[in-house]
Amino acid sequence: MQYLLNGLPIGATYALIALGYSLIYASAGVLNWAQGDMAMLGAYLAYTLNRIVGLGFLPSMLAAMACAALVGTLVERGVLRPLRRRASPSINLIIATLGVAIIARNLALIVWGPDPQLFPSPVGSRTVSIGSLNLLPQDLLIVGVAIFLMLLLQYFLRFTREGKALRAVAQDRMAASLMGIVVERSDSVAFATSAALGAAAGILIAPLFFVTFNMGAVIGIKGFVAAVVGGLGNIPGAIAGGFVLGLTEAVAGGKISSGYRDAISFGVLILVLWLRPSGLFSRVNRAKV
Amino acid sequence: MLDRMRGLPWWKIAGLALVLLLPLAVSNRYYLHVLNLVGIYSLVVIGLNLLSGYTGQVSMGQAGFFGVGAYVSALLMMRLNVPFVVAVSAATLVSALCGVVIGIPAMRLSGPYLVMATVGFGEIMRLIMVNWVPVTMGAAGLTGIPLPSFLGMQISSERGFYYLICAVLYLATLEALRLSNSKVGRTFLAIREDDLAAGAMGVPTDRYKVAAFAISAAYAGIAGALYGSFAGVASPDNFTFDVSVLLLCMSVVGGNRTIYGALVGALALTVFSEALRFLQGYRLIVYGAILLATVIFMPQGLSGLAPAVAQVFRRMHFPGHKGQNGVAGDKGETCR
Amino acid sequence: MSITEGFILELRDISIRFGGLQALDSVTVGVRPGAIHGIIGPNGAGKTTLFNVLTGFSRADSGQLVFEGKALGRLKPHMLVPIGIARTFQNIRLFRDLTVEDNVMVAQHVHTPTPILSILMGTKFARDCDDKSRRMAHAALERVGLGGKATEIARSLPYGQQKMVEFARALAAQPKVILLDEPAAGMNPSEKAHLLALISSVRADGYTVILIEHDMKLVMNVCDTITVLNHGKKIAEGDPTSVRNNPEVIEAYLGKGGTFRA
Repeated sequence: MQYLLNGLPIGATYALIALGYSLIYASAGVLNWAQGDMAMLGAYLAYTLNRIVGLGFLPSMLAAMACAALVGTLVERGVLRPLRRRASPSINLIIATLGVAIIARNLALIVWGPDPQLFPSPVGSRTVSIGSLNLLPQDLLIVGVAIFLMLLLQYFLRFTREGKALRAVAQDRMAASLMGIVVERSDSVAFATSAALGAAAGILIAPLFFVTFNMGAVIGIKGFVAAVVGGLGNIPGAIAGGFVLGLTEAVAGGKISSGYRDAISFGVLILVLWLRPSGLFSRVNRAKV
Repeated sequence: MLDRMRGLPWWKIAGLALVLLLPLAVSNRYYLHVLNLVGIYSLVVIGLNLLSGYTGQVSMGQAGFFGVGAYVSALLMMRLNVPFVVAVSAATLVSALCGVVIGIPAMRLSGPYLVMATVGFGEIMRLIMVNWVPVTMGAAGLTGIPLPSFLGMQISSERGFYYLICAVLYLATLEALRLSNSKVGRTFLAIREDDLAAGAMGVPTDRYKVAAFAISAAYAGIAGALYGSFAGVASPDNFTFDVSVLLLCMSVVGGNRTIYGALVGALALTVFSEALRFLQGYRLIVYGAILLATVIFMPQGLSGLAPAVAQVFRRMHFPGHKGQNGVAGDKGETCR
Repeated sequence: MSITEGFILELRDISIRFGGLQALDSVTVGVRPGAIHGIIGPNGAGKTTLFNVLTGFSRADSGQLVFEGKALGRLKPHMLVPIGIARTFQNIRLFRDLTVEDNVMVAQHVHTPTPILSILMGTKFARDCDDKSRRMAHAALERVGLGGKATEIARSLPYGQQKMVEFARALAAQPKVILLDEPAAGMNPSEKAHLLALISSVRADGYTVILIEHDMKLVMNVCDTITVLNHGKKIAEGDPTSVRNNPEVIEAYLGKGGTFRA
């Protein structure tokens, strides 16, 4: 039971990253390798603002998310658009975002150094006990903020103009552009939103783990697994997938072995890809001939 | 043998002489060491090109197969006293089998799903290396891997390794070229272009995709086995995802649609990496930038420039030639 | 020409349902050897679905496919050519970055088995197998009138010629039955005339041709038998004249009181 509880904040984090992947995949049709590194960027920026500049936690977080959104837009403009214009095969798009990830990771290494940074939790680190279960207040903060952001995203997608445009582009790019939607702008919005969500995830999880230049790598892959489990491109699926993965990891890691915990995640990925590549929560699409 | 050589163009003979005599000219052991690494990496990238460039199955997990080759060969030699040649052969086979194991689920996947499945596989391999302590010695890895010895000789110098690696690379390239220029190569290309249509024309695409994985794994495996004896040590840190990324860079920069591109890419990136050593941490940023720039501006890689270069070469040597596509026998017939 | 009596290819009672839609309802079609058999019907009639069942891209819920008297079990696309069926695609599925001759040579895949050892040892046998494939490909290209285009890159050809390359590819598969999926789509009148002549001449070589088509003029001129589908059911079958004058067919296309001009 404790395992399940541990899995919730991790699951929420994965869900946020997974949302980023699915948003970009749904609208732009691209796998953004640098999604995990947005988390890293967000964490470092918030750390700098909070610990060094002295801003409060919330303003730091918001500012970091805004910066990340800007970076996301830059990536879309500078990398995705030229490739699209040249009609590059999709593998080149993936490689390009990989290049971005490498650059981001090593820039962070240079700017902030190789030592892991400590980011104290804004809500204190005293364990709270409910019966036999232990909780960190940070865990609650993570889950709370994550759910709030997810609701905000739903509102954005359903009720705002940009959000609806995004959904239209996700459904049918060509038709959307014929209806007057500027698809490149939607791509930028998707990248910016995903980056902001990723940054939030990184900031939320920073107090639990150290902030390092490499943290984007692992969390990026886990987030992707979560996105695939829920169905890549499927927004609610990403949320579900994140929690499923987080909980599975926590339980399996606790019960079976912590060393192989990551292997279990990859095992889950390969299993899902083999048996039901469209994800556990998606409707199966038949290929059109 | 001399008979066959008489028909070879001058530049092939010169190239052969250059390759054979190089170690005698290069006195610096370090440069030779780097060249040897280039040779080993080229082997892996040839396999990667066959899988990704030819068959269109992107793989970011080659480091996993590379590691399997190194560990299997090393363990066979160290624990069971298996002779070098047998150990390397066995390592190649085991690696190829791993290729089949990942190829089977992978054959239904494409795009980002496939990429991630291969990443996952590479990571699983690495985690096994780290966690299966009784066999793999865990994170510390294997040390004291025996040097290659066969036919009574033992290879211990850089020069010796150079010739061994050259020989293996020569055979590997020859076979890769034979494969790619044959029906197999054409089938791989067809699968890359449109695997639905290929299937409709009778190609058992699943079998070929798995075969492509097996072949690329075999190449990585034999390279890994050589690497183990070359470096003397093998630890999980040598076979991380970053290595897979490096291999991908070599493949992309060299041009993943040709076999020679593998050699070009391995050489280019290794030389680059050594030359830019002074940049320290910025070096990887430059890697990332090169990757980006290549993919945006030069998607066929360096070897994609070859036709253009060949055209310039041809124009220089045959000034009056119109030189369109240079295909022998093309008389420019038009359809009625 | 052909020895077998009766049908070379049969669809018996084929039914398939997608969600709430009965795409095909107990459709039975028999194709005689050496015939040019057209399948027509208004949009949504189920022609493409029928084609997909025939080519293994969809699986019928019930019914049987019978080829040369033998029932075909679960049909997968790559089983077509070895059985003796080759198809073209409505939306042209060529191997775009490959040369025209490479495109056509792929169809020879099952007909030129080359041992892998031969390839790896670079033997003359392997080269001869490849040369044979190339010769067959060139012959097919000559047949469709693209003899000089063998070394061109497929995507650089104009649309009509790309369609011809697909035709050549189907021929090179050495089939008994050729399935043409809207072969005339997007063609100009002279290309259509060339196509018509090609289909007729190909029949003279012993091939059976089944085609889905929207172009009535082409269908009426080239087919000996026409099957008409509407709403997933077969509503008529017979030679062009009888189909043209069949009131149900007319109604399906034009509504009540229309006439056909073909």
